[in-house]
Amino acid sequence: MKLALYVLPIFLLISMNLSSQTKTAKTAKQAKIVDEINLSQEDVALFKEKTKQKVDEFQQHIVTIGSKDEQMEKKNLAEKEALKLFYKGAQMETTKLLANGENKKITRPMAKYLARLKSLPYTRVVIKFYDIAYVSDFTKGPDGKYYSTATIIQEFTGFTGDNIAYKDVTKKEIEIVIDLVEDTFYNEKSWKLFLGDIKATETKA
Amino acid sequence: MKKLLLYFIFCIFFSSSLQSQIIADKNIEKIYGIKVKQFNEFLNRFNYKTDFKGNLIDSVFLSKISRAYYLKMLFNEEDTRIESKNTDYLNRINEFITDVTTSEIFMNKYSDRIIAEVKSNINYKGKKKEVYIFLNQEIVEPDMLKWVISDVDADFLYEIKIDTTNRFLSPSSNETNFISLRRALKEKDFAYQYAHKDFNIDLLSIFFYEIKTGNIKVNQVNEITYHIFDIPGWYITVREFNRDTENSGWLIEDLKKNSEK
Repeated sequence: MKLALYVLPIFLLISMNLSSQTKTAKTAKQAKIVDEINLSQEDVALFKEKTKQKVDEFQQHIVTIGSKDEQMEKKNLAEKEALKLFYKGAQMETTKLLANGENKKITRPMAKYLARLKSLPYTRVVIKFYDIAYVSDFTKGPDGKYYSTATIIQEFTGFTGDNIAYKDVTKKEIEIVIDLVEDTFYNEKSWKLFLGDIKATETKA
Repeated sequence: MKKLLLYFIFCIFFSSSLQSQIIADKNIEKIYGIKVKQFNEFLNRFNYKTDFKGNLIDSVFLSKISRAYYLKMLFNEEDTRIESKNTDYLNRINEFITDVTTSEIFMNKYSDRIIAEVKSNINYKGKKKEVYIFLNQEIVEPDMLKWVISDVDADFLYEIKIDTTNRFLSPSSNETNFISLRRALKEKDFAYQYAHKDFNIDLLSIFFYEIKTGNIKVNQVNEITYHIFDIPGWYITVREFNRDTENSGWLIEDLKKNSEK
């Protein structure tokens, strides 16, 4: 009986220790996996900065594609490069303010929107972006990707001859997606930033 | 001399047109800088977390703009109650701001008490209709989030016909193999009256069913209104005001007291 009194606590102590060891090992293993599939706060901050660069890149392409002074070859290249920035299947929703105060919405695949931009019926097009970009915080989705929204302001002026035929200021909300992409060449995964759907709202005609 | 004069006139004209362009640009930059561009930005401003540029609020900003003033800017100033100086509404706003600032209330960005009411255009059996879809945020894992459909509302989804006829299956219907059931359910409009007392018509299920059968095709989202119940003692609605002024974007459309704390 006395022996049992000594043995039991020792046994409990050993089993507790063993179980905590197993738990620690499991947690470390889990942590490693989590580290691989999660972005740190510093990474997120870096991607916020990278978002601005990607959005800038997109804006540059838009200006080239819409310009009437650029060679078609350069416009085509810009169109191709702009599409590379987007997630597959990204769409553009544009809202136009009608004279009766109603909003007219049109949704197009991004490729179609960019192709249309090349052939607008104006003799000269001026597209200007304002230095106001707002990037919201990144939030993780159930698919493990990180999502955010960037807002940019664009001024569009279409000329026929010397006269302004059309002018608007639009606010564009661009979905930003950070995805873990596998590089088949290096056989490794890395986080990459893509642009997603865009909602364009005309705010000033 | 003539050429020189023409040059001067050109310079004056060009510089004035350039100047007016710069002023116009500055004006647009100012408007869009102050405009609440995203709902996310609205929440960050409400929580006194970020400044107009989206940067974390620093000591310089703190010394210039108080949280009370920042909150006041989140109200739709073109509300008729504010324009007409309706004392009841203005007092309510002041009470709200005092409560939020003194009790240091901050909103949980990912709260399920933030409900998005999405007014959408749909095609129902080939006809254009409007439907209100309600969504809220759902936390999947501690750090993962998604928006989920919580409810739906539309007049056409289920039109309840009410009459005074007392409809029921008799207590002995079981003994006659529920023959009366066939007769009862032939009355399409009143079949629901044969359900148990706690039965409620679930429009969301009807909505999903109509989508599955191809009767409903969702076309586009027209408008979003956020219903926020996350501020103890208060209920606010937030909507996007698309106009060319500094007080625009996602703003508080209405403020009510909420007895539910």
